[in-house]
Amino acid sequence: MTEGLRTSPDGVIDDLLSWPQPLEVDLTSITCPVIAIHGTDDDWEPLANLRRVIDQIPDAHLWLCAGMNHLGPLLHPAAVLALTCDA
Amino acid sequence: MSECEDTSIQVDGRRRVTFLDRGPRDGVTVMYLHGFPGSRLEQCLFPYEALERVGVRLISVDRPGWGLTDPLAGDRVARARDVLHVADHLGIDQFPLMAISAGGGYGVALAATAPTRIARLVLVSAQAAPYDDPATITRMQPGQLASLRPRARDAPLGSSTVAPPSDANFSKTLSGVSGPTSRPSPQRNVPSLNNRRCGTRSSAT
Repeated sequence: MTEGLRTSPDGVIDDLLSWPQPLEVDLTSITCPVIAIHGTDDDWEPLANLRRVIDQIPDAHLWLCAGMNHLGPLLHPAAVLALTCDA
Repeated sequence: MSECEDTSIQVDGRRRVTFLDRGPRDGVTVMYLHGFPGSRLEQCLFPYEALERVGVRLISVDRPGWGLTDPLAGDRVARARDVLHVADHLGIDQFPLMAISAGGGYGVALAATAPTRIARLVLVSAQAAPYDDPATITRMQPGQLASLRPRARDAPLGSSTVAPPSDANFSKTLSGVSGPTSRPSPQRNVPSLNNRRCGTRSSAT
């Protein structure tokens, strides 16, 4: 966090301003495979919201992490990396 | 080239964009979009031994206005394109893209607008721009937020566009490639970052 704010708060401000805005793209136009890894108990970014997005992406796959919260998937970094590069 | 390098490039002759490049150089190159609050250093959540075990060269880019990347006006589509500038600088045409948390919206934006560059998009605990759906807002009211957890846990994976692997399969994947030593320990990894000959370079594109 300290490094992120090292030179200015601009990133924070721009991110916060973007959050109330709808996504700027047509999700149905995404052609690459999309894998979403999400904890079922994530109450920072609730799963219900993610479903709303990936339901519109043609080639989307959801990997649920049962009982995990927002940071839970990052407790398994090698597994996340393996899914990312299809190892 | 060292195994870990902090690099700043000039984009369009005026903006500084900074990225962190970690992992074996012969690994699969994965680009990384950090969350909020965060920076390119966030990728240190992925221990070096995990990068080596899976064979991943992980390149995280400070998003505009974060860390050592200059701000950029515009929407998520415009601000996500620094990833493409860094890939161009490294001579990487197509790559998997990992987007964490608040980086998710940027990852989606890039996947939609640069389809020939993104081989696959992986969203990890991703933000899904919740505030444009009144029903979702209702679900996120404080009094109802608690009820969202059991509802999410119990919700069926019935969408035709989502291929739902079972939790058991995910657990199998986890147990297959992830061991106790690969659990993230940022406080341990950041010092190790400094110990891995992490230099800083600047160059122009």
